[in-house]
Amino acid sequence: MKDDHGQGFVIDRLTVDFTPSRLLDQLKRLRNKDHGVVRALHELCLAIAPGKAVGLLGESGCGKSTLARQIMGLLKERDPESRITFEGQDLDKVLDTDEQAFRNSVQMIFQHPDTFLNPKLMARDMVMEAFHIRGESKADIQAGRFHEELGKALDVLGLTWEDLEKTSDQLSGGEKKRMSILRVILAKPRYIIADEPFSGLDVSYRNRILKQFEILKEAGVGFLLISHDFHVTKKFCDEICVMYKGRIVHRYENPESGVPEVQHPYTQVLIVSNDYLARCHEALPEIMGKFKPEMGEKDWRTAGCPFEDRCFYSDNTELKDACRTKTPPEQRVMGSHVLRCHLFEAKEQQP
Amino acid sequence: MTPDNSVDKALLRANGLSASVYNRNRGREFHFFRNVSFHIAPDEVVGLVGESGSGKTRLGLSLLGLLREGPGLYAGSLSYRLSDAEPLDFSFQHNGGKKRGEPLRKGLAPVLGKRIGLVMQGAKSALNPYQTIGTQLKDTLALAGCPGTQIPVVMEQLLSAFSLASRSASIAHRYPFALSGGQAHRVMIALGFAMGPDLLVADEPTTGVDSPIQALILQHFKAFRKGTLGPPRHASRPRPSMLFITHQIDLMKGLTDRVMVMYAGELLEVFHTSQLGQRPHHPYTERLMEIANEAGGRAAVHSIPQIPGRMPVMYDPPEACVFADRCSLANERCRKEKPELVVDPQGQGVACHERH
Repeated sequence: MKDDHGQGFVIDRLTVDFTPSRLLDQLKRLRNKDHGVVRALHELCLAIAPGKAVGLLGESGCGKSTLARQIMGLLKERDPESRITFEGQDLDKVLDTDEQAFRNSVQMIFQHPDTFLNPKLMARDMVMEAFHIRGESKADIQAGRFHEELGKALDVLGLTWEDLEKTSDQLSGGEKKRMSILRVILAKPRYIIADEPFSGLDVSYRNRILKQFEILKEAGVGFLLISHDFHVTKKFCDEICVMYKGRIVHRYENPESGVPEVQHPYTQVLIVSNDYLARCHEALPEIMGKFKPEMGEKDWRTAGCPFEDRCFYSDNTELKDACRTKTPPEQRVMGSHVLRCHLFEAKEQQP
Repeated sequence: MTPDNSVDKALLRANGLSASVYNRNRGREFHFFRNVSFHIAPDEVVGLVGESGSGKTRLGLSLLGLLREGPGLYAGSLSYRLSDAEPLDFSFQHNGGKKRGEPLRKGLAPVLGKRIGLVMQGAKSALNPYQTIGTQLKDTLALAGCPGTQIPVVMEQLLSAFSLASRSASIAHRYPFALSGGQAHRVMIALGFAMGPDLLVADEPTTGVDSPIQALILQHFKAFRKGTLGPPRHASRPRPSMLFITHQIDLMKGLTDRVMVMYAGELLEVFHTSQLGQRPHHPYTERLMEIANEAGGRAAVHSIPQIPGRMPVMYDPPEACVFADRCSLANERCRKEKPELVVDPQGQGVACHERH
């Protein structure tokens, strides 16, 4: 990795395999033959710096959430070669020595708030915990010194004081989500790992939360924003990583216009489908017609490009053999773009 | 070809429909929706847009008799004019919260699943766990009156359209538990199409899937409407009508003929999709469009449009304009008097004191 200054997270060649347990193995044998080891992440490299936002795009099942859990130390099994460092120290060591301090400075917004909120606590208790996390004294909290700040934050997220008196089962799905975001915002962590923070939220709330995130980012908070919505990441993130089958296939610095100059075929699918959804009076673009909704069986362990079976360039006879037999190497194209695709091999030679 | 939107030939007409549920803990009524009137013409796709909690799913379910009457649906009427079926008319009244029989559900029983179909949210829990996907599709096609020789053909067509048969093992032999969330979602939509209904209520069919799949699903909805996907229809039957429920207003442009905007259990506006942005809209619709149209780019997250405030709590919905608290145009009158939604003969209207 290039910028290893001991700041933020640096993830180097992270590989995670899931071996199905015996029971699951039996179940799998019942339903189909492809039992075995599932590779969730494959030699993934990523860095999260303070004051910057990294967007992670990819479809469901590509390993986005596994990555988030690895970063948070919630999932510790990984390949011995893999390395995650947090501010210059190995993550496992950080968790062993002072887990609480790590958890205070890195907060996660979970995709499913139902499993995240404590069902026995009132929302107020969970939110007030945020002030403890950021190190305010008990006396200050009890004296109501943060009343005004809390009121403002509630207002921004469209929540009321009444909602604070509810337990999580009395809140609606959207309210739960906003409650967990409220908690994270108030805790003032140094890094926020946001796993699909906008799923299940309306556009108007989405924009309001994005605005809060932007304020935090300017104050120096580092973000990992996981999403499958290209539109959201292009608005907020400084760097965008497109992930396919547990590996980053395209990484680029987000340009001002939001549209990357060079596009991996998979990036292109994401962008084109987003455009189509925004102005869907047009006919479905041709490349979408060739795109299969189902992920193929290939992954990065097998020879060739895993995206080959869904790629609309795979008809191209010149490339066909390479795509089938050779794993595409990482290439830097036009400055900021790092791609894994045989299409760009020729361009690499150009200055 | 533009469908005949006039009220007289409506396939479905709802008049003053209201529903609520009594919350025993609070001792108060929670309102799902109030005084909703609309119609859907044959061969017309009507979109229903609104944020979560605005009552759009409940309204969709009530059209299929899936909402209890008496304590649930307490006022208004519903009438159905389906092809080769008796005209069906129902009216509802408040019965003081007592449980009551469900004539709507009984009355609709002969047409449910044949002439009226539903694509539900939460596909995994909506599919029958004891039957394979193939059996469920086959049964649905048979029930819809698809000739026996055609069933495997249509099944094949639907499965391949949704990319459910492309893998080495077709999904037809699998049980719902063995499907991924995305696959179950597509099976659910395929089942909705397999019915070949006159009226299809599609509840958030694009929610929770990735954008490339959303695009494909939307494309299939268009194909189903044109009749190029799904079981063959008899020439005497009109093309299917749909109620397309979503919270993404931008999806409406390509698919729907008319859009109804729902907020806090009330319809605020009805308009033709072709006239989007060309007529006075409700301030709420305008804000939604502004957010949807806001071109991407990184330019100033600080200036992205948003709607301040929150939806009124539906225990005591305001007896004035429901959007007044969040509206930039609101004046004294809006906070006192409820604007009526007056729908003109073309089937358009705005419930706003400031916009007509």
